[in-house]
Amino acid sequence: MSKVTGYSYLLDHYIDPETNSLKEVYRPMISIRISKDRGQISPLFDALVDSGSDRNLFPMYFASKIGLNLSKHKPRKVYGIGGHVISFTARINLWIGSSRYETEADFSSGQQMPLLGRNGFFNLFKSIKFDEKEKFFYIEE
Amino acid sequence: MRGNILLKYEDKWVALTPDRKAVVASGKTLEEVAKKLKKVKRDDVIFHYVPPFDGTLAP
Repeated sequence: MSKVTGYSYLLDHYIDPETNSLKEVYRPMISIRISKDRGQISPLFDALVDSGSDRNLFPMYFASKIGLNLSKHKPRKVYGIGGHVISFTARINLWIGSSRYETEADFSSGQQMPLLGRNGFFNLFKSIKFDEKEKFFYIEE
Repeated sequence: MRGNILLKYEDKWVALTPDRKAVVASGKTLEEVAKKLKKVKRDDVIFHYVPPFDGTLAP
């Protein structure tokens, strides 16, 4: 029996260059926490559910909050539009509410928006469906 | 509503109350926000990054 949970998109804004006016944009985001083994758990933070990202990518700050020392980890390049950032990979627990998922994430001091990618987030679930019209996404376990 | 309270925080990190109705602290970096939270002794927050408004997002 599968379990499906729906999450509302979150509202942000951008300036439309055609009209120079502020427009609304809704983004599929979810509040998560992370931890390492049985150590300290991070504060809640919003992450973008991004099917275009290969992997999870979080700001380095959250690695320090859970006591990860990544100085001996091998660097990994993560390419995006406009260049790349250097990241370091670690095994983590990812928490959605009280549900814990063992996975992997990359951490970079060059990354602002936390990203949940296909390898490390999407592949934890049976499916993730986006309803752009209703501005909801649904995670099926 | 939640979006409107974020208009002052373009390209910043904010710490939101659990109901997302108010901003408890903000800053250019997460470290700056954490420092401000320590001062007001709040840790029941949600960290949220507000991207710049002068473009769309393609991370």
